Amino acid sequence: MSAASTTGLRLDGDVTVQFAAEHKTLLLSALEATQALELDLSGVIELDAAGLQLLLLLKREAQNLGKTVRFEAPSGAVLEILALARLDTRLEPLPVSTATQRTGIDAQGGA
Amino acid sequence: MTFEDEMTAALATFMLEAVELLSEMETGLLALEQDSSDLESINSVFRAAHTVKGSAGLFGLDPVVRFTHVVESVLDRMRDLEISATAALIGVLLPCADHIGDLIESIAAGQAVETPAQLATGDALLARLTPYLSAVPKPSEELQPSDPPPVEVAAGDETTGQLLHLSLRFGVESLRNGMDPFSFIRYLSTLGEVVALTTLPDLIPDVEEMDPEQCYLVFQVTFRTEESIEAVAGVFDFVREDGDIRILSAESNALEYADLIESFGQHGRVVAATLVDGGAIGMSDLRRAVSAQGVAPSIDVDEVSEEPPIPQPRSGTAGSVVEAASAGAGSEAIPPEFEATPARRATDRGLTENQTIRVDASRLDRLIDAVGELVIAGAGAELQAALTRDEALQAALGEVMRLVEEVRDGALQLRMVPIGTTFSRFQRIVRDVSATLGKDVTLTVTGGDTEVDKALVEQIGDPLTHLVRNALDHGIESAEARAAAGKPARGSLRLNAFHDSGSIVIEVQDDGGGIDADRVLAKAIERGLVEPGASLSEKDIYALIFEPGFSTATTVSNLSGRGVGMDVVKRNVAALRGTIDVESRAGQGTTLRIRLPLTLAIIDGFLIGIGGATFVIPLDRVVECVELPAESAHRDYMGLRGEVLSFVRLRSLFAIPGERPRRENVVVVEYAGTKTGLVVDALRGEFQTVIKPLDPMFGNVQGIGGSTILGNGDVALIIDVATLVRFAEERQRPAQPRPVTV
Repeated sequence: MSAASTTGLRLDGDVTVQFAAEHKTLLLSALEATQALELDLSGVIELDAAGLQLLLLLKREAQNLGKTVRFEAPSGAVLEILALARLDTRLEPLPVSTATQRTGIDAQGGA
Repeated sequence: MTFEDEMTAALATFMLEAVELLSEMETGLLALEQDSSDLESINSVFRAAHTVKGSAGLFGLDPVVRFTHVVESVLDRMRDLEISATAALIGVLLPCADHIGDLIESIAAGQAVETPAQLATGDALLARLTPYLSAVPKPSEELQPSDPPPVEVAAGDETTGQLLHLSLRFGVESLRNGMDPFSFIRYLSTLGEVVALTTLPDLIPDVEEMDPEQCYLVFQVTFRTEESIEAVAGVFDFVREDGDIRILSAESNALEYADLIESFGQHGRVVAATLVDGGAIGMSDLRRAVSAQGVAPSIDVDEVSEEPPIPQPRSGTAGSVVEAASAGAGSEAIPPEFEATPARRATDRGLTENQTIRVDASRLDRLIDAVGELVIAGAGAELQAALTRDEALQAALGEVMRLVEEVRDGALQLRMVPIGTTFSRFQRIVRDVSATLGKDVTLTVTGGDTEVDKALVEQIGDPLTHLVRNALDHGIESAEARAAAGKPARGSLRLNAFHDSGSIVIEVQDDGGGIDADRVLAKAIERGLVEPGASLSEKDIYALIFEPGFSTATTVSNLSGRGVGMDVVKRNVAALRGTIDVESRAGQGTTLRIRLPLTLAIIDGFLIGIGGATFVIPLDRVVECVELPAESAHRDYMGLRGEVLSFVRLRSLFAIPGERPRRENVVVVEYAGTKTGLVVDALRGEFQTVIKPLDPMFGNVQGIGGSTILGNGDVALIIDVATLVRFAEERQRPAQPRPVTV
């Protein structure tokens, strides 16, 4: 397991149930290979619940492993789903109180 | 022109207008780019978007309306100077205008729903617009600049309606089955306001066990709506079976809340917090419920227990659920609504519409048709039963027939829809028209839930639109005139509907100046409609406004210059077998009252016999019945109280064999002001008739409008009076009968 300090990865096209299996492998192996993953979401054309829960899984897994994931430049499609799900771009709940409760845990895994 | 043709034509006009409006919008935006404080341009851009949305709404182009609504909301804030026309904003608005154009263009090309590409573009644009929509300060917490900001669109009137709590756990297979939870959430927000929503990621299993194609996301939604709980539940009809969808309201038993919390096990406290945050249930109620049931959800608080503000008992008692919830509620601002974006699938849209099922009207017609056949078959069976003298059989059959009639009535009832759908579009029309006229008018709608046959609802829209425009244009005075008359400056227009003895009555009532009877009479005399010196009752005078070519408008405004007069309204109403009358008080206003039969499928018929055949003449076309005078036995006209009445011999017209009886009768019918006689053998009285359409095979048969089944099971043809009257008229034309003295 190499541990490059930071790795960039770009997700393009539809991050939907059709490609969920593929994306799961891609994202988790990318996370495995790095200490800090920067996921570029600017090319995402469509995001659905399958895609969102993959991102949530990735975030949680990073936390568990003491790594970080950052979601960069979310596209309109991503922002729309985040708005519907009331999540911010760190995939934390938007309502402030809940966000406060978890401050510090974040995607940085208790760092 | 049929109604459909008119709609098509109107739609074509709308497309043209929309193209102009969008280019206007573009011009305005470009001007704003030069000078962001140019109020004139802001207004023109807003107006353009507003008009496009309004017209699109009239045609039910929902994708256009939904998208443009958001654009309009942004522009509205710009107009109110809440946000300024920055280059960035214009950079978003320009492609928005393009997108609207694109949507309209594809509708013009006959495309019914948005393409995935259009949806994606729309969604992306909406996301870019959201930062400009918020009237609520951003949460001050460390949100990153790119966070999706709170969104508020339909601000203002969101405080009514009931609060519901929705717990949405979709089936694990829902994603594979193409049911994206977000489609449902999007659709949900068309029914009300999503006050709060929590996405619970906690049910996603560990990496190894997580099947990326299964759905693990759970949503807790606080929802404010004016719809019924059933209507909201209907949104989730497709997924209820596989998932765990719960909808709780203030009336729900507190135990249901407790049960909901418990069903989430260790995640119960998050759910409890969402319940209280949204106000779905009061803290004390929740506490009571939880303790009453002795529910002790085991709550894993490890993850959050370092956070100081919330007391975190490790024991995970029921109390902790409530404590956590109250802590959450106290510090949380209620997030604003996120506007509905177009539902992804057409099926989503069809899910609930006032908790109704949409049925193809032709299927209903087939049902009614089949019920008609059933009546015939039943009558035949009854006849056979009568021959057997088997009383038990006859009694049983009698019961069957009673039920058949019940089914028939039920089937006809299915065609009934509330007229409110037609009324609702008038809010926009009144708003737009009164704005055009520079008048301030409020529209009050009452009786919107009055039910009427679907076909009627569709066909009454146009005449009603004309009456409303007319009332705004000619009825309600200008603000100055109203002030001079001591009336409130704001005019009032009322649309009302109610049932009255087998009819539906629709009233268009304004509080304007009323109809000037003297002016109407003067005009009628000038037009030669009335003899000078004739003494007419006020009611008769008012009725003159429905005469062809009559208009008292001294100035022809662009609204009344549409070539549609009140005479057309009257004709349209008459075509629906309705009547229209006027009531007016000088200085106080005018009421136009349309009275229509409840259904087009049932008419009061007048039965007549020719030879062995029975025909039905719609009773409301019948003026009187007289015996055929002996001297008219061999000609086609007769004298009727000093006037010449031409008539049609139905026996020869329909080539019915048999001898003419010694005495024949003439049924005098009237259509569009012309009277004609129909010569028949026998008059058989009134009969309520269920109209069955003729088979298309007989579509070109002239003079017959349909068929019906008589009580004895015989089929009777329904005479199309309009065609026969025209036929009689045309027959006269080549050789105008000379005036005859009788």
